[in-house]
Amino acid sequence: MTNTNQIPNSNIGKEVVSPVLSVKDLTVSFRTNDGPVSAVNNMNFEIYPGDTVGVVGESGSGKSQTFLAIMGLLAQNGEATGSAILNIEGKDHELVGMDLNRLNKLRGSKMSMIFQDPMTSLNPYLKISTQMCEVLRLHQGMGKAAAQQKALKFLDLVRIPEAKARLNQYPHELSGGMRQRVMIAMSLLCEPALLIADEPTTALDVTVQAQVLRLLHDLKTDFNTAIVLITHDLGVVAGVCDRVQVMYGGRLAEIARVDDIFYNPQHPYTRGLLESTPRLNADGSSKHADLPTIKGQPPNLQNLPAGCAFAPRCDHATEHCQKEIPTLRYFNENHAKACFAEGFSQSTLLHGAD
Amino acid sequence: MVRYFLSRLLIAIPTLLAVITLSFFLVRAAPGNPFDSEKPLPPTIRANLDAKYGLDKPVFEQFTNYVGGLVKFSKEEGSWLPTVTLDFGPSYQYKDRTVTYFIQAGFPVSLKLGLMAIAIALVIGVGAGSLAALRQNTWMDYTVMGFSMTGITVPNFVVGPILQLIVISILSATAVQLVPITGWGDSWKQAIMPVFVLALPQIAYIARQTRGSMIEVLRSNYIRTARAKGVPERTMIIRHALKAALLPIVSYLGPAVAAITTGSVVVEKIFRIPGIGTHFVNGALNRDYTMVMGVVIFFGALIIIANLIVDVLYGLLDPRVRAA
Repeated sequence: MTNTNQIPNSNIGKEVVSPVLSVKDLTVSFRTNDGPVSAVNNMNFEIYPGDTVGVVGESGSGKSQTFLAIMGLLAQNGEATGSAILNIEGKDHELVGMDLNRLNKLRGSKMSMIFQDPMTSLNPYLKISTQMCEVLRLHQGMGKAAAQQKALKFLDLVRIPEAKARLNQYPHELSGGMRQRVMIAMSLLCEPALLIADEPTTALDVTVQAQVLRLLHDLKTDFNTAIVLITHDLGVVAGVCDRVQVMYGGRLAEIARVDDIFYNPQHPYTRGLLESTPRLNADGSSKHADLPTIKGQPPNLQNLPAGCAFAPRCDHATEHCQKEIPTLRYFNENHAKACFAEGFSQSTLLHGAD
Repeated sequence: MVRYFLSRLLIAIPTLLAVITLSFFLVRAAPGNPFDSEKPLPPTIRANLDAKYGLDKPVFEQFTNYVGGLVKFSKEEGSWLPTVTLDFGPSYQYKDRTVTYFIQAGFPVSLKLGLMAIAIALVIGVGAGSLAALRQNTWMDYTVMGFSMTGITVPNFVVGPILQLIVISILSATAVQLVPITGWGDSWKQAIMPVFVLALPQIAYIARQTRGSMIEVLRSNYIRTARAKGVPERTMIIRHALKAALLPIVSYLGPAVAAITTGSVVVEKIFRIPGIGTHFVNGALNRDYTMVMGVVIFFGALIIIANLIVDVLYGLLDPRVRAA
């Protein structure tokens, strides 16, 4: 497939690893009866091969919509502008505004996505084998027998017991955790360069959560797939991610390596998030003091403040913050924040991550 | 499945009994008598007639006699099982004919008419409904929904005569030859009008239903999954969306059979079609008790069987029901 959007001089060189996904000025807005709502504003970030990137933020922060836009899965009234370039084997594919036929050649094969609710994400009327083989026959032109064989191999890979029997079952015959494994197996069938997992463990019970996360972690090493893990669970982030992007009000608040997010957070919102994480004392009892919370409400996306979206809830907000939107600045190679405030020292955090 | 099927058949028996009881007393509650005519019969002749048909007995005795006479078991030599015959009794109006004879003569015609109407309703309804769902909020959607609203609200006894009138008075005599407005069996063209009139409300209802369920399915998570897998739009609709969207239509087929059967009563009369419906209307007008009863029981059984078939079909289509 030829690509007209290829950027000249893109670094195909081996010494510089080029990002698998580069997002520039990505903006997502929805037309509603009450006027346009901008869910995502001017996102800029890159994701590198083999990286696991956690995307955290509260509901409505735009974390899911960013990646649904990249997959071309926005609701009918949604529109994405800006640029999201998927780099596959040195070729650049501009995903924003890509025509549906070309997009369908990439979705499910070069990039894939798993969703929050495994109970409803599989088609209840089709057997597991039909749904899995469909991907292989579509993208790799496999015959029925070969596709079955490969689907079986991947079900084994995600540690589904009695994989052969499962192939002939319908989704309702599988448990939630099992269905999410099927989703993961299905999304990996074509060994994609990018796997987006949108809250993959939220609907699962805690023991199954851990299994699914470990599975994702193991599979990353097997396939060198870049994984985007969208979640609001900081525990999940700490467990599996290499890097973290914190989102607030449709913008990136902070990007950092996972250790820096937990031990040296620089954005007041990130700090607030960490401080409001419940934790147990060494003896297993919870602290007596009330759990700190971030005061105020998440912003109304339809009516965002003129300045920083977090300013109304921020202890460090100045007049400057009310007037101007802070841009995301890198203050060292791996750490960026969108905040006018001076850097925070580690000791100012109420308690460090355990 | 077999067990389920048999239990459903057993439940059908009390249902039918209730239908028989209700219609028996309702028909008799209507004023008039099968032997009323413009010129009153001499009292002795009238008494003889009543005695012959058992109408001189108390109503409750008439009822037990009727129900008792409905099913007859006869055992032939050398055969294991008794043969069961249904006897709806003689027609009060046509004295040398039985009700069974009229049903046997009329049913093939009514069946053909009904099946054609259902087939056309399904094809047009599902097609138009899917189109409206896929082009939601466009002129196409609004046209389909507008037409179907008309189809649902205007009853067939209005649509039929108006269409006949249009063909006769506004169009020419050649139009009547192209689309005949009455009769049955001489030419396939005679079926066009009645089938259309009978199917119209069903087309309308099925189109609305399909649109609604299709829109819902297209918003569902597993359709998003299919899109995320890179399944092309057309395959996605046919393989992933259509089956789920059509399940409500399948379950509507039971009530649709009932609606078509009752609709055919009117439509057959309007278009002079010699089906069961015509006999039913004439029977009701003439207080032909046995005729009315026979047709009601026959239609009742038909609708029960249709619903049973629909339930089995639903089970075959939805793997979640199948397991239960």
